[in-house]
Order: sequence, then structure tokens, then C-alpha cells
Amino acid sequence: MDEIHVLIVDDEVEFASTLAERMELRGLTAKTTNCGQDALASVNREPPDVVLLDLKMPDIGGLEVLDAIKNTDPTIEVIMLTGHGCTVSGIEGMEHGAFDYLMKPVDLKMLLGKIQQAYDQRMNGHHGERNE
Amino acid sequence: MDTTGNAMSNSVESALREQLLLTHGRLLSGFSHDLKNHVAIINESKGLLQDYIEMGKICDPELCSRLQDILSKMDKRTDSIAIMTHHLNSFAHRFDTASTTFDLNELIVEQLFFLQRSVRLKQLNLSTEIPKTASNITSNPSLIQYLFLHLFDTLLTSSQEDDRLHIAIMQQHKQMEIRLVVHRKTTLPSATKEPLLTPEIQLCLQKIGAHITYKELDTTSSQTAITLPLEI
Repeated sequence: MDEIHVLIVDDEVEFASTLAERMELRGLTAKTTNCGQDALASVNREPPDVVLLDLKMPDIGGLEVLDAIKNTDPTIEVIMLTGHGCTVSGIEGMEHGAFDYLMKPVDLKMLLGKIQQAYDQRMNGHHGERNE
Repeated sequence: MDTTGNAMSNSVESALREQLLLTHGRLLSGFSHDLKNHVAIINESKGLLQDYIEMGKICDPELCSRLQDILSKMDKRTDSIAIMTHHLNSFAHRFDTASTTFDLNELIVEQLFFLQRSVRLKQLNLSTEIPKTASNITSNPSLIQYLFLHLFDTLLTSSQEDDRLHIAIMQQHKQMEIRLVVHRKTTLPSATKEPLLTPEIQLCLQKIGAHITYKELDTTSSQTAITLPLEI
């Protein structure tokens, strides 16, 4: 896998840090933030290739963060992570420009595959196109 | 209280019940959302330990093997919890709207998941025939749940150990049909097997344009079916 810079945004600190450690073990560069405000600051400071974004956070909602990231740099691909049983919120995220959405708990292999696809899309400049 | 007063009181009571249901749904969905987060953290921690074993970072082979055993037991349990919380969360969201488009197969699979325990305790054999492709309908999911549970409960009450229950979903013309078939080991009087159409069930049927039919297939088998329009 290329050296992909991933930003994990999740208010569950342990979830974000453990996932980041697993990604680092596989050669990715992973950073974590635990709220929407910090995520936006991090994106501005050091734009990642792919953002893993939790839909529900205490300060700013995931969809709002997604919009702000896309306004800052539309080439950054965002994968929404949702704990909700219904797929409506994930589909809504894709309508806002998310690359895809995954339900928690997530299968790491599947997640890594999605991250690679999102990264390829960013590199090929096809951002904003719906993932099939 | 006069008639108008009574009617108003009934309508307030019914609105109150609806609000209670919505509140319970919201609480349940928040609760199951939290459960999912806990499972996700356990899964990732487990995965990290697995990574360390696979990458040879734990040198003692005996310890590695023991840890693998423990991890595999944890895997089985967390997989089950993940499925349970997924169904619980979907179930909680069924109260969200009075009319929505959803996959009927998914709704019945979810219901059967919750009913597994009752089936197991009663020592019945349950089989299903549910299409692999989505059976989308536009209706009130919580009312369909209620109907299905009512009929399933009737079957459970009238069944005995080793009876066979079969649940099938099929599209018939422009309607969906949920069939509940029971093959009993002994014959029972019809009155104990037929579904009871209480005023609440009748109101429910009316609200979603559904019908219930009951027929005896032979002396020991019977079929109850719910017919639903594809759209209300």
C-alpha cells in the first residue's frame, strides 16, 4: 500500500487510537482527532489523503465536518463511519460528497480496501464521483 | 364526562402512547449506538493483539498459541454481539416514521432474530424461505412488526416440542405475502390455532391495508398469511 495519510476523526478516543496503531503497522500514516473542530484544524494544517469520519460527534456533526472538508479541499476523500443500523445517514453522507460509508464495527480488511480506493480516486483526480 | 370529553381523552391517550413509543425508540437507538461503539473498540483491540501475534512480535510460541485460542473465543462472542446490536439498532429505528420504503426481508430476519430464544426454549424447529434480493415495500414497519409478532406468538402458544415452523416471504402479483406455516406432531382444535383478530389488530390491518388469512393444510398443519400492498 502507498504511503497514504489518513486522518481518523472519532470521539471514541480508544477506537481512534487503536485503529491508527493498526494502520501504522500496515505502513499507513494515521493521525487521530476526537472532535469536529480539531479535525478541521488538522485538515487545514496538514491535509490528509483520506479522512475516516464518525457521523455522530458531540461538537459538530459528521455531515457538517464533511461539508467543511470538501469546501477546504474537494480532493480529500472522506469515508463515513456510522454506528447506526439504518443506512440512511450513510447515504446522506454520500450525497454530501463522501466517498463511501461503513458501519461500525468495521472489518479492517474492508476498510483498508476502501481507503486504497479512495486514495486512488484522489490521485486520479476523479474526486466527487460516486463510489460504486 | 360527556361523549366529546371522552373522545378527546382517548385521542390524548393515543397521542401519549405514540409519544412513549417514539421516546422508547430513540432511547433504544442511542443505547444500541453506544453498544456498537463498545464492540468496535473491543474488536480493534483484539485485532491489534492479533496483529502483534501475526507479525511475530510475541516470541513465546506457547503463549502465542494460547492467545490465539483466547482471541478466537472472543471473536465468536463479539461477532454475535455485533449482529445483535445491529438488529437492535435497526429495530429501534423502525419507530422513526409511520411510512417509509424498506426491505421486508430485512425486517422479518430482524424479528426472527429476536424470537430465536423463544423458539429455542420451546424446542421448535424453525426454517425460513426468504428471498436473497430485497423485497422493498412502502408501509409502516412498526405496524408490520406488531402484526408479525402477534401471529408468531399465536403459533408459539399453540406449538409443542419438535413442531416445525416455516416462515416464507413471497411476492404475489402486486402484493407481498408473509407465510407462517406450522407442522404439528399432534392435532389441535382450530380455535386454539387461529389468529385472534382483536380490535387493535383490525385497526393495524386497516392502517396498512393488510389482510390475514388462515387455512388448515391437513390435520396437523396450518398456514397463516399476511398480505401486504407494495405501497400504502
